[in-house]
Amino acid sequence: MAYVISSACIDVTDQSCVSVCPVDCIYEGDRKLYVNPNECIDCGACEAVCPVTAIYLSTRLPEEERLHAEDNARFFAEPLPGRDEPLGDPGDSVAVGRIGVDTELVRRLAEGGAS
Amino acid sequence: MTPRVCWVVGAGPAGMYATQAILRSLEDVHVVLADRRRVPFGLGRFGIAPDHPKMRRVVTPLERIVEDDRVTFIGGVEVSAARLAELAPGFDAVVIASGAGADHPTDLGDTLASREVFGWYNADHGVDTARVEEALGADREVVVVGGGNVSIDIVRLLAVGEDRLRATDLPERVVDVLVARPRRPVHLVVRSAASELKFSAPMITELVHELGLRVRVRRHESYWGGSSDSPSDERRSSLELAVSGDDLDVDVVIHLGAQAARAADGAIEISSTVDGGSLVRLAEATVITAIGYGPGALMTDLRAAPSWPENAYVCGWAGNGAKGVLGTNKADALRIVEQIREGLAPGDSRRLDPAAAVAAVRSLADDPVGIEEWRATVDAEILEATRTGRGVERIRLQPGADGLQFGTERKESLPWPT
Repeated sequence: MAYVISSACIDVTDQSCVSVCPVDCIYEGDRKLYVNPNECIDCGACEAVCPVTAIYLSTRLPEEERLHAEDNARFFAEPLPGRDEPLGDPGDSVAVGRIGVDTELVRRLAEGGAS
Repeated sequence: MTPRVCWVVGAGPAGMYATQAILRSLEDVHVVLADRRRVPFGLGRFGIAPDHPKMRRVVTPLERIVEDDRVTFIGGVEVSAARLAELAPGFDAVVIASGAGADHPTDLGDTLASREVFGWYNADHGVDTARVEEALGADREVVVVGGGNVSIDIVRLLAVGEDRLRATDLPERVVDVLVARPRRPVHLVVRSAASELKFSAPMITELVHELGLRVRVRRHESYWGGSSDSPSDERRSSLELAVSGDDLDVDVVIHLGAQAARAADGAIEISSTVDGGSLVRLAEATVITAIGYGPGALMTDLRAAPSWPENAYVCGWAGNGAKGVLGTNKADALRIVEQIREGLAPGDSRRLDPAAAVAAVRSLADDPVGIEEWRATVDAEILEATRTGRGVERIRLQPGADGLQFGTERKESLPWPT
């Protein structure tokens, strides 16, 4: 299952979710945050504090946001644009810090929103 | 340069997150992490439902914190308010993360407290196993009182069948007792209306959808149809999917807007909080109370003392009562460490050096244990799991006088690994 951060997070990246995540599994890309589905323990703390209701359990995502379940996983499983290696499961988003890159999908959505 | 020294009282989730936040935000610091228990992690180790394996992974990051070179874990430390106030000036900051106290008392007569029940099924130490097993093993209904996640955890474990139970991290002994229980509906009595429920909607959905339990929700409140307090769509749908019909045909009956009382003849009566009308009468029932916890003794005494130690901060349930989920404590820890930073005197620490700080806290315990004993405990759990072919999550050892003691699951001890 795992929780998923959907498009409402783009250009908001409020980080309330990061401070309540007990396993530090919410990572900061460039203009969006991502939940590592392998590290998430389904506790739901993030969902409750998100100011823009961007976070859903994967099974409860609204239809139009379904693609973000796969995209959150892709952020970790596939090399990000400009990188050779995937991020993988570092187990500590605070130690990793801001990554500064988004997935292709999020980059497209973010640019589309800005134009 | 002398490092800052912090004393974190309590190595449960709140204390662990406070330690983590201190390590992350103070440059040169040493944390003395003390717990009353002889093992770290408190309810992280002994409070998370054993049928929620993903949630139980919450301790993984905590294992790294307790192993950090800048942390000294000391177990078996019982600290009084007076001793805390006496030692506090030796530290740059003291974080009180001692957790909540005992279950709130009720006027229901002889009941099991939620702490006894989840302590028992989590293989905790110091639980009166025989008392819990006698009460749960009897051929009686079980009534769980309380509307939080703890009460739902207990209901779920009492209601699911053997196959499910065997697949959890429950100790075999616990599974055997639960399986031997006669199949009777479990009653959950919740004062709140549906709109005010503290447990999350997914907890009810799980009972019905994932576990296939037959759940009946009986609403005794008068909220329905009101606009301001009608449940959210999500909550409504999770309540609607529960079945209607006779109570006897279901596994769980959830009474909302209801209260329980013990009649003169010992029977348990469940009645409406709206009009007091009697709803169910059970001639004999085991009652489990899960209606929250009072403050712990340390906090009660500290608050009653004439002055509060100026560098002491309260984190997690010790201060707020049992509220929110695990992650709530983490946000609380970040907030407190921000206050600590602001309260620190500039320049070097003029307090105890780390070795003296460790010695001062160790002196509070008759028989302190440290990280070496914890590592030996973890190794022995793995060894025991391998030897017996059981999951390591089912074994909860702690260092004792005559070796490594099991929790509620077994009486004998294991010899110290050599």
